[in-house]
Amino acid sequence: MSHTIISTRFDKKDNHTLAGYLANGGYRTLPKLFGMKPDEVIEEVKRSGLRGRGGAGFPTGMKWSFVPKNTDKPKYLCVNADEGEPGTFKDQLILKFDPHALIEGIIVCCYAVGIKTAYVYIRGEYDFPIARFSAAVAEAYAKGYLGRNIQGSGFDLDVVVHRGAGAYICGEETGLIESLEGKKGQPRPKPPFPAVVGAFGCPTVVNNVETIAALPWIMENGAAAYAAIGTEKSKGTMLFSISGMVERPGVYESEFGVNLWDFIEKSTGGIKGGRKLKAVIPGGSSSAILTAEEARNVNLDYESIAAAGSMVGSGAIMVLDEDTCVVRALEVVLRFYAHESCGQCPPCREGTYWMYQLVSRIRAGRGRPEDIDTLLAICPDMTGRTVCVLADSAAIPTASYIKKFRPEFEAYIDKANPPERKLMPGGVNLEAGAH
Amino acid sequence: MPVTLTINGKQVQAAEGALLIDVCAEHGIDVPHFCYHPGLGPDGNCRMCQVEFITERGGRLGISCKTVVSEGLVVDTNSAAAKRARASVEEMLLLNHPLDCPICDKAGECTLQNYYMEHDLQNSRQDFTRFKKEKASDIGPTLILDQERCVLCDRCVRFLRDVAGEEQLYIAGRGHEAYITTFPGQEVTSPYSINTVDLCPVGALTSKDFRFDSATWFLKNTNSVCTTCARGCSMQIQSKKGQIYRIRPRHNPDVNGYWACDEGRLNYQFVNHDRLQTPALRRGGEILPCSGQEAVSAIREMLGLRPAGKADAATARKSVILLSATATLEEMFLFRRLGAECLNATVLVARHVPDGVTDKILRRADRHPNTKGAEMLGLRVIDLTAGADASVVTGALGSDGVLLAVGFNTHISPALDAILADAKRIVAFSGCASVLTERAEMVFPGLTFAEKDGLVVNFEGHVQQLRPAIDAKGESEWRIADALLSSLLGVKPHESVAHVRKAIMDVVPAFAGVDLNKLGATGARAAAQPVAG
Repeated sequence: MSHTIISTRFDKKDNHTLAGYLANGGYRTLPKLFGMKPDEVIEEVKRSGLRGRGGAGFPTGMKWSFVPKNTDKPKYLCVNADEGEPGTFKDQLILKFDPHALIEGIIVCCYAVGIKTAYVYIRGEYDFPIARFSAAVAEAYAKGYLGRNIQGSGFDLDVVVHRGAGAYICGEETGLIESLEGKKGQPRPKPPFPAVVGAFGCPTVVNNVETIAALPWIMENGAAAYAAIGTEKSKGTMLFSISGMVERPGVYESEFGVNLWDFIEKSTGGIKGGRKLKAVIPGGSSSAILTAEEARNVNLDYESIAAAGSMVGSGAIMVLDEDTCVVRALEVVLRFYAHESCGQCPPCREGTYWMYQLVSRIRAGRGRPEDIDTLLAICPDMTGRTVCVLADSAAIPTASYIKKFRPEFEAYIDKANPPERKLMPGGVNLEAGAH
Repeated sequence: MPVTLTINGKQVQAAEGALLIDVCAEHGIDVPHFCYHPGLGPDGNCRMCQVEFITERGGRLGISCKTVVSEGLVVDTNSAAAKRARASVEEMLLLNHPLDCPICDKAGECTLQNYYMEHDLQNSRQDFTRFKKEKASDIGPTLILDQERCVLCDRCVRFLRDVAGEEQLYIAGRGHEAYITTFPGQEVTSPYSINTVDLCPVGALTSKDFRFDSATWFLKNTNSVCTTCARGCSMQIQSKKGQIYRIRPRHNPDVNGYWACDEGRLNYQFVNHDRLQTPALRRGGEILPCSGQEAVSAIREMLGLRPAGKADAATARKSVILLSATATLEEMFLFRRLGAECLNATVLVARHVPDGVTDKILRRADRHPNTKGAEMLGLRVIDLTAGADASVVTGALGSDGVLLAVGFNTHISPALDAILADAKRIVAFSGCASVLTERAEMVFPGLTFAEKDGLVVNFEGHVQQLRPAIDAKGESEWRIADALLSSLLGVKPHESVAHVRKAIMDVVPAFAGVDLNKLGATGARAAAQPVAG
């Protein structure tokens, strides 16, 4: 971990206050920013190679450039702080410990794209992060870092904190917009993309908290410095939320391109109790699982993980040790997606629950031999067939868990030789936690 | 600028901005769909209209309802991938469907059923207990909701919100627990509510009026026109064994789009029940059936016409021919001629059904289908809804005039009732029993809209044709008028209603520009301005 960008100030005293942030070098980029033309800022971000940290990894500068230049409509920024992907818990640290970095990043983005109002859509359960961030926004308004004529630049910007109401799907960018507009959080068919028709029918940029929080550093140190970190196509650093059977679960920052297992072992101290590694889920619950061998041989960057058949996603790394049951893990994942499907599209609405029923039956020892193949057959029917990728998010882990750990599933069906029941990481009690 | 695209190997032209699903339909390719409806636009939730786009990078599935056609687009609506995608959507929708088709009103016209025949025809792969949701919920005066059958296409929600302007249904819950419901403590009360039954691709929303009445495949369809208000929505009358079972709107872009109001659809009970079927004459205190021959001589005698021979208006007794504004153009035309050429008669057209409301969607306050037609024929239209013009009739009748009342099947208004009480001698041409037929000295059993072949002109001057859906239960009014005319004038009777229409075109300038015998399914616009008179 030679580089830290996002987490540098997390442990600095009083960094969440304006005075603390200023003392730590905050808001220093504003004069430079306002001295540049907006297009130059977009170009700078493009050159930095910054990609969206919410899960899709889309190039940020390019996303901004899709917003129409000549429009008489207002434009909006929606900062996605819904952080709903199971295993992800990084954005809350920014909200809690470096909220002004997010505000500064919002100023950078809005200045570049020509936005006068930014909404920060924060996961409803995040009481403390919401309080911390709201206090920071109030302080920024009071000291002229938000509002009219920011620091004498002539640039106006309002930031609105919007509290979500507890649905995974509101972290999908168009679901977030619908929810922000006061409607039921359901993704919209695309096109049109939010950059053209977004919040309230206007051009809208939707970016993840961490993406925005990286902007001040890029503005201060230049695109070249950011692009020098990481690999050719995965630039910079990323926060990784590491959970599961490791000694010290937590959020760790790393530049891209390091060995996945090395990084996990060095930052968390390796598997708890010295047990053996079974598998790693590298990018949140919707990513494909990697076997121990794959995890040891893959580098942590967008291309390498993609080449191994999975994804970096939101950087939620979940570690399964030799005692963890993959069948139960899949049951938990599928229960989540069945519960969180918005219900618009039949393949997702019906398919997620059907898959959950099948896996649940297998886990309970009532599986039928054909159930495994039925599960595999459902997966392609749920991939790329729906308005958003929630259905895919259920199909991808299902297909990969079965493909890589089929004997474990078969063992549950083999009545003569039923496996010992084991819990998920963290000891989730499935029976008590039924929705 | 039209664009050129390729659908299933055939190059076609389409208007810029058109939706692929519409372009396919124009070229005879019906892409399966649940949530899309041309009257509601695309929503994109059902995923049934997936087709395969052939690109340089290979095939890509996409939904055709949200795809705007573009130059060079290559589409295969029936590729293996597209068919598999649709079959899997069908499978997902059927996973927890209750399969109560044998007792479902929608069976036979159910989209889910039809697409199953096209796409799947397999046994279900799922063997879990199917979801239980609410069945047979009473959600308002017109509708029954079955949540288990619902495919959550959102059409009913969108219709009520976007077309009817009253948001009364919504999708509650999410995922597999989502369901259609009303808002707490509220009902669906929209005057357009039954459109949701037509829109429902399955049997989730059924009409209380039609519920369990008939299997749909036994019903005979007749294209006709709604006679409930001056809009004249294009309708399809569905009947069986001489009874109307259901009336539904037909698409007519010039009149009603895809919709109809509930009142218009349900306004048919008088056709099915308590119909008068034979002519009757008052003898002594009682009104008794008589033969047609007796009836004709009686009417001639009553009007002071000689038993036989040509008309003699001078000797004829003073009379008023009062037509309901629900009468057809042909009836009005022939009675007008009868009054003008053979009798000593004043011909008036009465609006007698109480005014309703005019809204922004379809309904018109004037609840007569042919007020405009009467005006275009130059007939005087009087208002008997509130009684303003009752004196016009009583004045014209004098002390001993004969009142010929034509077409008052329903709604004997107080004003009309007062006229009837005042009139000494009444001849009624009516299909339904009422105070009018009780007071009449003579009754000719008339027809209702469902038995007539005739024209009506809506408030905008749009002429459409009523077509007989069921066998006539009485005598056609225009035939009686025509028979009297021919016997009194000594001319040949009209062979058919088409000849009457020809005469209207020849005689009435307002209809000169439109071929009344070639109106087609959706009718034609006659002269924009009513002629004076």
